[in-house]
Amino acid sequence: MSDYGFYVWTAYGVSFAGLAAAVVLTVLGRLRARAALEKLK
Amino acid sequence: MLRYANPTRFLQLSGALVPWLGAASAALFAAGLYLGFQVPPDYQQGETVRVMFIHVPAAWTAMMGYGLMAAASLVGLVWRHPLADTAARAAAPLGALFTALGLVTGSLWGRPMWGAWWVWDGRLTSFLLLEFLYLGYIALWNAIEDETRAARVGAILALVGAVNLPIIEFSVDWWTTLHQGESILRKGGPLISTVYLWPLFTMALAYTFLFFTLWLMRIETEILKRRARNAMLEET
Repeated sequence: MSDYGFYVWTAYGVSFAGLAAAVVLTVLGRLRARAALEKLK
Repeated sequence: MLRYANPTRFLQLSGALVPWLGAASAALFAAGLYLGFQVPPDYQQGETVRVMFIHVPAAWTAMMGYGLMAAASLVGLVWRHPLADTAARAAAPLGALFTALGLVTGSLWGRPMWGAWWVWDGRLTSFLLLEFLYLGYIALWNAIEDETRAARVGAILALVGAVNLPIIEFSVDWWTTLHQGESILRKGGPLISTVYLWPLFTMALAYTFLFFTLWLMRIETEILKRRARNAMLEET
């Protein structure tokens, strides 16, 4: 990846981390909301 | 369209769409990453051209997200439909994330190519303002306890902030900027080689599908939370 590897891999790493966190938080939030509603029912 | 403004119908539609959108996004990400690392380095940018395949889609999605948030805000403001307010609110954190990714990846491209992490040119500054608009919108919702009022005030901010979208888009034409001019979606066709367009558009679709997957899920979550709150109120 020549001299620019640091910039390329960091950009991909940050993007992956951000998007993965968004997916995990969204899925967990939905599961928690559904569980809370089921509990009340 | 208004048929699906009913939360129960929305949940049915969303429940059917989310798995397909999520699967399509995952497949497009796999294809986009494969294509992005197969193309040869650019003759000027070298390997950093690969940053474009994640930077440009993040920026496009961030702007699309704001457009959707503003449109939902307008519907909420005019027709006073709670689902529209929920949709606008659910889009904001996602938009803020995609904007942040656009800023960070742009900075990581700018350092080796321009010799600077950041410059205060028209495109970069207006895009940074987009991040502040998202964060301001989220802060407003969190600061106002009455949800109806929070939705009204938030909608006004979202609509006023929508003025920034054409500024971002045309900033490279209106002002002399370090950021390159429009090189993809322009009259006369793209200026970049077709070999780079495939990974770019594949990743752009992957980002768009991911945004819609997460947006629908976040709207679902808000509806479920509201139902849980109502159920608790009925119990007490």
